[in-house]
Amino acid sequence: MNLSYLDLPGEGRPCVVLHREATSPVEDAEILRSTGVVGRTVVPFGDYAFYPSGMAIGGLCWYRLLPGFAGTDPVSLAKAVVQVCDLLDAAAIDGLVLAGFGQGAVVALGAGSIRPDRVSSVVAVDPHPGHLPLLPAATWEVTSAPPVLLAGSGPDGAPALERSLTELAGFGRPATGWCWEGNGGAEAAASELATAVRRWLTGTLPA
Amino acid sequence: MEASGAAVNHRARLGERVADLAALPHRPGMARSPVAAPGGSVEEFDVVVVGSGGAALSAAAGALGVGGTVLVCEKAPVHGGTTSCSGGVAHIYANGFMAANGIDDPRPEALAYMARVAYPGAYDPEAPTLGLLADDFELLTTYYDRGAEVMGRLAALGAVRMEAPWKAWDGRPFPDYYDFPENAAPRGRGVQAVADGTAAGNGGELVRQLVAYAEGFGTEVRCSNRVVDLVVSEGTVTGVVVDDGSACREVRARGGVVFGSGGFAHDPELRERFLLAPVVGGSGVPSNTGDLVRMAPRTGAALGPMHHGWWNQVVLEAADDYANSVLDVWAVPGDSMLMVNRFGVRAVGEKREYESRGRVHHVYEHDEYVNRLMFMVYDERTARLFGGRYPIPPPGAVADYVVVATGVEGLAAALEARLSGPARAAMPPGMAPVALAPSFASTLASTIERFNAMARAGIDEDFARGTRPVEVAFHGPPAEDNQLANPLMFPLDTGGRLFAILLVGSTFDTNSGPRIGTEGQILGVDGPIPGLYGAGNCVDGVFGEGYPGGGSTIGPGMVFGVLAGEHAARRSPRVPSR
Repeated sequence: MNLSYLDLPGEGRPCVVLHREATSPVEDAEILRSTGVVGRTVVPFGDYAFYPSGMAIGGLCWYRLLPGFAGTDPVSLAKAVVQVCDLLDAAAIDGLVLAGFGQGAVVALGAGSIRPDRVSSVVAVDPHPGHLPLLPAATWEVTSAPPVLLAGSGPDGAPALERSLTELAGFGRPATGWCWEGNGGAEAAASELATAVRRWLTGTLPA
Repeated sequence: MEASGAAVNHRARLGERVADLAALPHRPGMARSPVAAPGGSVEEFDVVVVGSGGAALSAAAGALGVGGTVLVCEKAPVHGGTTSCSGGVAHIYANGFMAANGIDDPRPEALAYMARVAYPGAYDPEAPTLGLLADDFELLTTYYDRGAEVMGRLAALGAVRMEAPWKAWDGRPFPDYYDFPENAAPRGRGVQAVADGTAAGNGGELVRQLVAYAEGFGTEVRCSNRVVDLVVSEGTVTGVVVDDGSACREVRARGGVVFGSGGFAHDPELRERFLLAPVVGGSGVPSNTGDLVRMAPRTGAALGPMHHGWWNQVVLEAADDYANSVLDVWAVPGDSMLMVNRFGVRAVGEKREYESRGRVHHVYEHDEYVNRLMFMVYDERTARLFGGRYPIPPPGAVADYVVVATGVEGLAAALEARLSGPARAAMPPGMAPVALAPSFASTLASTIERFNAMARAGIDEDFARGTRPVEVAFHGPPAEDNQLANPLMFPLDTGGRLFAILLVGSTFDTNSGPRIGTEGQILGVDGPIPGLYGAGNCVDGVFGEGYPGGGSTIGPGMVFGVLAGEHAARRSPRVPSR
């Protein structure tokens, strides 16, 4: 298992958070921790990748960025799913919340489906809808996959959320959808997202 | 974390699936699809290009630029090859950026630098061809003479403009990798694609631009289309057999077939047969499985040296993994850090570029490959100050591939346990297990003591660490608390926790295969094989066993790719000659 990860203590449901590409993994994890529902939180770091331009190494992502290529690289996506499954075994925790943002959301949907013995709930925030069909076929071959909250966290997230819901339904995997519809900046969006996740995890978010 | 017995073995189920995906249709020895039923029309192009990285797409651009029609066949499910995972730098002599900025790159000195780096065992500045075989020398002169010309042509065509300088952290053009007196122009040869008008594009951007150029002509880049054979008629290559996953079909090439299909780093059998030392497949894309090496012999192709590669180091536990970028240990981060072998002895300046560090794994002495594994050892301070620079985990994070213990004795014991357990299991095929020498702990303590004294004095008497511009460029800005004379060194604190990461010798890819001529023609015993061309890592590399500077992989691939594409296209009756 060659992922590096933060292992943050806490009281509540154990959680693994897969960050959005090229952003701070900790910021994404804080959204989950601010729900007040999750406890121990494992935050792995994706592969280093080149930024879309320039030679700076430091972007973190779960699967390959291919400028101008429709979709993404399905091999690297499958690899990311396997890596996260490895992490779930290494962490040796069951009944966990597997949350992901952006690319991490796509990977969370794959790993959560494949390891329902470890994962009891999947929170997928802003997955790239076009990447969902590229998940390994095993993702869709599971009969007892954990429930999924599909969230759109940005003001323009509704169309993508609808597409993702449609994609999942097409694979026989219905999900609860939630989209931020408020005003304000990223802070307000994060706060409302945390509230929605808390309500969903505690069974009080209307379907 | 220690892995528990998993209730569901996803590796057995999904891991095989990943291998299948990675191998689809990559895997050496993979069965071919049945031959297509006869009767259908046979597609015909002026040039068929095999592969879709920098060399292949440059060949396509060259052929299109002179009026040819082109088909690009890529066996991977996505295009771009290793180029698309890379920084996209091309090492070009007397290039457009240098000319525009008044950087003189005189021919005699440039040739001497290339010759010394590429053929260090033969280089003789007094000899007529600098001591090199005439053919090898001719390729180097061609590369100097035509590199900038070809790049200029790609820009004029609107394919890609390779004129953005590759810069180091201090804003200066990145220096070449060897600090030889022959080098009259040590900065400015590394250039990247100009993106969005002014920015420097990486390898993905380079591929995007070249694909966009090809598609502008209606050229298809067919992914998951594996070329499985050559069609040869009376000694001339007239086409290929393509397996698209459902059937094998012949595709004719009126002018020629250009391979830009990568080396054989990810074919364990070819690796073990040809390479001189145990190395793992490394950080190129897994489709680098030596297709040309397997196909070319039946055309009578003459092979060059087969033991050359672009060397680097990777973390043992990440060996042969499928990474999102060329995930080698690009630079070894840290100043209170050193690297030792199983005897506890340093073997190389830790701040050298990846090529020199990679080559140290090939050393054979005392009846063994003494540096098969190297241990990167650092202290709490480097973990804190350099955390987040791969492979050191980000601050606060941990990684199972990092061995952690208190003090030198503790680290030695922890390493011994790792080597007899998880590391032994992680050793790739073809690489024997490694154990620490009995004297490892005491020797490591002495090594650190000596290193610390040299750090305080500011002079590395053993490896001159920190004296070369390239080391400063790879290291990055000095740590804020390091006010020593040599900021690339700092004493290790052995009183607290020590960390170790296991590194194994690896490649970006190999660069061995059939020999080529000055237009990228693949050579047989009696001269060029009509209709067969190659560029990049699938053929005998222009730079021999050396790596003159950043972009030494992509540069020759692009230059000889364009020349091959042009030459092949002009062999077609449809395409006018010059």
